[in-house]
Amino acid sequence: MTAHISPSAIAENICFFIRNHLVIGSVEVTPATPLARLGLDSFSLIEIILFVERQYQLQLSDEALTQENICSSETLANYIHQHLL
Amino acid sequence: MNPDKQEWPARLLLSGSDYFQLLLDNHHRRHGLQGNIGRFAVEVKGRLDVRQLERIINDDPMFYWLHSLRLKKLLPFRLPQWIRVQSADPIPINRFEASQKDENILTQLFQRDINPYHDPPCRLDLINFEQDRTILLFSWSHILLDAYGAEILVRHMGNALNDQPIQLFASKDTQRSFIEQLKQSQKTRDFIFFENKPILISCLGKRDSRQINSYHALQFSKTETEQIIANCKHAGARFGRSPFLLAACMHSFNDLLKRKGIINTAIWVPIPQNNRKKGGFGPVVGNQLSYLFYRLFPQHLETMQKTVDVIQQQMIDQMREGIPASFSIMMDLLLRLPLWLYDKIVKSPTKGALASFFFSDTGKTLEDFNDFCGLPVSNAAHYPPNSSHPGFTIIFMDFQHKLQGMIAYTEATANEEDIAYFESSLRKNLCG
Repeated sequence: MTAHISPSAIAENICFFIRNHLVIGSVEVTPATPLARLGLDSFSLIEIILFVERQYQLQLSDEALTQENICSSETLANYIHQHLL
Repeated sequence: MNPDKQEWPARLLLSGSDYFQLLLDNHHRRHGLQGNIGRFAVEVKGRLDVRQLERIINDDPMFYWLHSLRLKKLLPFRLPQWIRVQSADPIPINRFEASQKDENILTQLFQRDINPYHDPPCRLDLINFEQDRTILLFSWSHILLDAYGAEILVRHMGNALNDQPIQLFASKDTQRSFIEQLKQSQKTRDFIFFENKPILISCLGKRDSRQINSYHALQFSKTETEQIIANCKHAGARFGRSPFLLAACMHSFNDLLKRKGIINTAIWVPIPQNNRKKGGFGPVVGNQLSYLFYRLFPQHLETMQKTVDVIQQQMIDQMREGIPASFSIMMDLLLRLPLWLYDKIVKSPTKGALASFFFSDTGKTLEDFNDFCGLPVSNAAHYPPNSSHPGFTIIFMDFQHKLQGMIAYTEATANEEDIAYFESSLRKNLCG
């Protein structure tokens, strides 16, 4: 497991995935960027969840997947760090 | 103007997703009066200068190249493809003058077919109304473009992409081994046809009714749109609005079935997934779509919250299993299959039906569509292809921060009273 990893590293990892797979190169993605502002659809949001699950070998429950937690890379990273790692 | 022969491909192979649209084109022709034709209408304030538009499209080799494509007659076990035909004729824009009352001119234009083997795959109609109002209707064969690609093309034509470049073609896919393709295809086939047996599909329409398509627009104000977004949250929609919109449609569709005395056993809806990267304009050419499949039984339709939950769970499960990607691989594998055999494979487990109804949400791509050829855009809407079997299609889109929908139906499926009932039920489910 990766218990020592910091929330900012997790957030950066999520941003890296978004930049590489979900948006075109010129779109700026930072940990604080609201995911809704990136024009991501329902499927893309689930792609992010599945990436996090694969990357950190965990399964996010329904309770974890609130709108607040998946608002940005940062909020998702904070939740993962506090509750799961 | 002729495109530079060196730069523009003389042939364009269909992808698996395009070939699937050709299958649908055949299905539409068999059960209806026209093929798989998408339409996108842009309404502007003012009189659109047709000469300016003619100059734009005839001076652009890309439009000329698209105009010169024809689908090649299929040969057994050969890959299906578009071929470029030589023509020196300029790309026509069909012009109509209409009075304010003459709205049914659009209805007439909706009945025109595009035969992919003989006709140019795209067509432009321009209707100038009195009182300085113009509608540009772009019609296209879905075998060549999907709704997102068509939208980009039209906006590019109207210089409405803020000088952003467009990407015409998709990059090449990773090659997979035949065994890998077979495995993935088997997984999709098992998922679609054999899990949760039996697949029982409720349909409103009669088969082979060969009725013309009608459209009904749903407009929501900014306040209603905000209310819908708030209701999404209350219903537990965590991944954007689409699962909530689909849930509302399923409830209203079920209400309509009950009203018509049809006993519902299951609702089966395939949903297209747009595989383009977000934030850009392209690829334009080819269908960049994969599919997810939702199967809901009456017990899933007890409350909106429950329906949203079930849809979200099915969405997560399918994406975790990689079903959309496997479906794309299966479509690529079926490229060399003759259409009649492909049709049998797709339809035999469901006794000829493809869906209870078709649903799509193009999202917020039209949110900032404000100008077209320098004129203010007052409306823009997709008119989806619709086959008389199942004969009921609904598409949602955002235009300038307002949600709108378009229902396509045939007379055999529903009458105007049914559509009014469906709309009232849908408004209650979305805004109530």
